[in-house]
Amino acid sequence: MSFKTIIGLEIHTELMTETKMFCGCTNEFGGDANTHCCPVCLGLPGALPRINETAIEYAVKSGLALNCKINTSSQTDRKHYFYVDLTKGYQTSQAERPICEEGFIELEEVGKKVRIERIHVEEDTGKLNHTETGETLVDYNRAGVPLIEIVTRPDMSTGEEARLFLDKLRARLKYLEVSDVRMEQGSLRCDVNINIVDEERGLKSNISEIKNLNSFRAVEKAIEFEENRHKELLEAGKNTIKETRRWDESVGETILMREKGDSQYRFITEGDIGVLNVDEKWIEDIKNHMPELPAEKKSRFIKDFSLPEYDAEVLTQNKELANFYEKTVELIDDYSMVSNWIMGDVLRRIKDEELEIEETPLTPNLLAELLNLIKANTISNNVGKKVLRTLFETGKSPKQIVEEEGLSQISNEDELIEMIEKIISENEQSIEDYRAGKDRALGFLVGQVMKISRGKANPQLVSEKMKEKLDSLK
Amino acid sequence: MISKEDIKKVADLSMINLSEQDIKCMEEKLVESIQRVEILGQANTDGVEPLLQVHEPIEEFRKDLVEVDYILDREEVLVNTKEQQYGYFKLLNIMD
Repeated sequence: MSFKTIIGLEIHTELMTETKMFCGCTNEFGGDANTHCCPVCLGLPGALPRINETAIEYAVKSGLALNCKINTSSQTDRKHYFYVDLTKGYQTSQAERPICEEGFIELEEVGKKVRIERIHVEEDTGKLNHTETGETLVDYNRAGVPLIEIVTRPDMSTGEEARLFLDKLRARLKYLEVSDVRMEQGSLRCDVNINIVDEERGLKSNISEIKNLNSFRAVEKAIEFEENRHKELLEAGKNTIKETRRWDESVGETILMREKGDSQYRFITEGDIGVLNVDEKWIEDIKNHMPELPAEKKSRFIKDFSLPEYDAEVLTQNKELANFYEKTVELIDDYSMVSNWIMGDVLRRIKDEELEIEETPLTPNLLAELLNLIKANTISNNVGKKVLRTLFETGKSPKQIVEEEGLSQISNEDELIEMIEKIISENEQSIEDYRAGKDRALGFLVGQVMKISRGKANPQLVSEKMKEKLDSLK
Repeated sequence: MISKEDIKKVADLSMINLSEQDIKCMEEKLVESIQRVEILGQANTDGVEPLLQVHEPIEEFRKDLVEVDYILDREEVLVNTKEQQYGYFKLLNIMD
């Protein structure tokens, strides 16, 4: 039995404009409840919406970054439903004629192109807080915040592909600076549409829509869970129902929210807003001011910094990390050293702590300072790693850490020779071995010196001096 | 042609309670209205742009600037609600 999984995604992203989609209320995250509201976003009678120019510009930018066709003429529609998250009785969205269509993202890793059906602009809803005492408290600060909804074609077939797509999408939107794309804060939300087919036997499950996914990991896990649920039902001669399900992270399962009927939204044209005209000149202008996107940055990193492709890929996955790298190499003239440190100890640390680079005490200045200490032989590479750990924990500068903890490498010859003599006097056997031509004996003796210096001796210098000393004893 | 079921469905979606009598009356009226409007479908509209407004928009887009003057005080926002708590509109729990 061979099942094929079919996955499409719907992604909502809040745009980082100053004001809301259709009114001049501030689009600042949070704030005291119901203090970012006006007659328009509260849907008071007689209030008229006016479209935010920057929100349209951001939608066009996103469309261009996702290889979409930009419609010079589109329109807004009212999507009707009864729920208190919006007061008007409808959400202003785009149904028939969205602003962008027919884009794609290439997933080179799996040799697949995921098509984007459309991107449309709409408004976010208010936030509902359900209390334990059985009430719902409503805050309309978020009502009317500009959103774009990105709808893919059902071109993905595994959780991993969905994850790859989302990684690339998020990186591009972040590079564009149109959204801060934080899933845990809700500025990026992803719904999954999934079903499975068995072409040989002509079996097909009904599509489930999964909501409440608050991390990319959750998207992957929910897809795996649903694949199995659909398979089990089909294999038992049953089928799924057309439904909306909610991901429950605590139990790792999806739970039925509601069955889906046919079109329930009674869309009508939003007559209070005219045709949304975006002229060619404006599109051209936006195109000319597009920031560098991940793929372009990657090529440039390979060319300008002579980095291997893999390193360039890792460093440009995330805009902050790429900026961090570029700023650091301005301060220290060693492209590969910086890249190795960032990709090694730095990334490991931020992954372990689930942080973004900008959320740690490490700055390009501090990393450059640390690497310069290593290059100047003030500390060894290993001590450098230790200093970096302390830096992450305390936020102190590398110089301060080295000084406070007495980590400077000992390059003072007299001090080193004293240690070397001590070790030689305690290891007669090794000296004989050395005389007998066993090179390993030298390594052992140097190791002993490093040990009594607690890693602070300059290893090259110890080796050099040890050899001199042993040869003079011959 | 519009059926009783269509009317029931739209009424449900619009949260309007209709009796059998209401539905019968609606059916007659709606059928008549729709037939009248459908006459428009005979006009040839090839190459005609959809018309969303009969007047020219005064200003197409709004600049992305906060308009402090239009933002309401919280007291004004909540003035028409029956129940409020901590500055929120308070409702019975409506988990979906």
